[in-house]
Amino acid sequence: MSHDTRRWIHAETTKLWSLPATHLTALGTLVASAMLAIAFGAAGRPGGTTVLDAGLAPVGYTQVGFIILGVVAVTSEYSGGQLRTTLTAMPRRTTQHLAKLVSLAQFALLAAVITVLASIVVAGVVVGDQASLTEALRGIGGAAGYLTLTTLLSAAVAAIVRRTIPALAGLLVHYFIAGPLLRDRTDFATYLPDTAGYRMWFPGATGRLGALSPLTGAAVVLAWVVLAVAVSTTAFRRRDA
Amino acid sequence: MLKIDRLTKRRGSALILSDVSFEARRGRVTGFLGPNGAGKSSTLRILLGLDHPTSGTALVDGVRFAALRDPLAKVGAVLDGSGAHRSRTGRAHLNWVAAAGGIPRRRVDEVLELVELSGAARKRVGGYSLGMGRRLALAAALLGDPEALVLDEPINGLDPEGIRWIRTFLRERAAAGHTVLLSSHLMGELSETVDDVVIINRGRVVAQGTLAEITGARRNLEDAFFALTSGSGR
Amino acid sequence: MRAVRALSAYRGELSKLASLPSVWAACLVGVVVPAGVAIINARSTSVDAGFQELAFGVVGVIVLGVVAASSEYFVDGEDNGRQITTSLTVVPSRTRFLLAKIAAVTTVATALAVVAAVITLLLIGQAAGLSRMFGAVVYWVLTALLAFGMTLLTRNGIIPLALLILNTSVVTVTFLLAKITTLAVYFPDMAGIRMFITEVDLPVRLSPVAGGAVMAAWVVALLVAGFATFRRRDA
Repeated sequence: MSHDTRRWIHAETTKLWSLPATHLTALGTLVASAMLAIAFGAAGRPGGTTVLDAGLAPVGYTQVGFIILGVVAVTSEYSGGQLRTTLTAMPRRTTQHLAKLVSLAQFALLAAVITVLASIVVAGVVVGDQASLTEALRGIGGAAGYLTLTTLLSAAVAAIVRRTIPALAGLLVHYFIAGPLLRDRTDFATYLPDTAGYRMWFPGATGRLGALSPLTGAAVVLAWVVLAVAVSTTAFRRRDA
Repeated sequence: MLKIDRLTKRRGSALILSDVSFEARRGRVTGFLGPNGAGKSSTLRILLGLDHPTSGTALVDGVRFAALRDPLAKVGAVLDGSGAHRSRTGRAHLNWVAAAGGIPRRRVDEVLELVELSGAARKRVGGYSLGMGRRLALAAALLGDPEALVLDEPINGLDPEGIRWIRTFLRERAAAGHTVLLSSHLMGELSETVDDVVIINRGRVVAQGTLAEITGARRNLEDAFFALTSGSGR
Repeated sequence: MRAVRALSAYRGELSKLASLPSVWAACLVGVVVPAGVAIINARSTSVDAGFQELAFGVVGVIVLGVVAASSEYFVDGEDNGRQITTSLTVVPSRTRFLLAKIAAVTTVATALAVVAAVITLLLIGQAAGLSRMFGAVVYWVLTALLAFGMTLLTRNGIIPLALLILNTSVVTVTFLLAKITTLAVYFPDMAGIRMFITEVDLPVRLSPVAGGAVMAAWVVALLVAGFATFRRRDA
């Protein structure tokens, strides 16, 4: 890694941590996820809900926090003309864009591990049971991986759209409305980034949600991320800032 | 040190810049003057690698801005507004810029002191006045103690005291051997500050030379400016 | 004179909405989502066929309500150009400004809901009870105002957008909560949905009118709160 790249990742990390919206989003997501874990733990079928089910089920909802995180990290550049400062301090656009995504991935991974871990612990208290350590680690790893990839995908989409509300509305409509509706009715939905990644975080999924193994699913989601990042990088290079 | 060479920029069918060429040299303050919409900002944005030219080049010591090894030490740029996100504090903004340039944190305190923002360093940028925002942008530009300063309408938003301060400051930068390029549509404010003048109108350079050459037989820079740009509709 | 001023404020708000690309996109989503699902679903025999699809299309008016409020405060890239300052110099009475805005949002939401409902129900071949269709339109309008009120209160489009769209998803959060506490049936969406959906798996029965009234009460409360803070704080 070149000297510049390391510095710029450091700069992007400093930027990310000093933006109140990122902490608030991460914190709000953590709290909401823990509350949902309580709800899932309490609402589950009598005797049938495992700690991991209740602890991981909230991911389906709390991914919204990670989508917001990805969008806000990118569109905040367009507030107050900050992008001009960014590009005069870090003028090589591909490197800058990738540095931002690397620092975002680190932040998202950390937030995801804490969120999922907390949800599983809370679910354990509510359900009054324990999960095996290996299964818990597998669940946390898969869920954190999925959430990190989702954050990156959202960031890339936001970099293409460049505006907060349209980017967020589009992503939310896909993840919470179009995606779930399509997956119940069409085969190609298996390969959409939300459905493909389902078993990464919810190993017990069935039907189209369970069609791909966690690893295959991860590969498909990763492919979407790579594609979106390639498009966003190209757009970012070409456009006037 | 800053060399603009045959720059042309089209946006759709509109011709924003047409064959713009000039130079800003070391030890001198170059004033880039023209009415609003003449192409000043577009030229500076291309120089800073923010916009792409249709043809032509803009170089810093013979290199494109984006290819500079250490951009913050080479060029400090002040464009419109604060260039900072409103929910960050002034210090946090300077901290990340410093990190990008590998500049030590104590330099952040120095530049805050220099632009007299130390007292507001922990306030969020959203609560800054227009003038404070401009001073924060200047602080960011000065972090790397750059060889050249590029300022777009630096006087906008400053109070009379601030204008006086920045004039003196820019003269001192030039006297110390640095390059200063500033754009403005306010002629009266500048005649005591600039050494060289480039006048642009409707995307074309209509005159360039030393202040004395441009002013020539006319009473002052303002008269010369209006004589050169008359018919621009303003 | 007062009526004239109120009318021109209303017209101003309508043209503001019409000039926002996001509003047009929202309208497109509001029609395409339910119609698209209806096409995929064509064989459905449920008594709620067509109406379930409309429950998803409500996302269009969510975006509409959010954008109507957030566009006054928050435009990317234009930090110092908050439209609210201009708006309040043009229509200085904050009450009139807000009423005009609410009227404009209601107008657009009603038009969008009627269009979406007619298209969707035709596609599905549902013999539409007029009262149920009316219920669906009211649900859309109240949801738009809910989104508007939340955004007005928070001055930030992100939170209402996330909460409301998330809660339009297939298994909504409020539905999940209803599994834990029966009180959750009084959430605005759970109550309002009774206006046009007949098969609901919820612990408490509410008539369409009662459901509508509960949802309307939420909207009124939120708008009053939004009103109060909006009138007090600096633009």
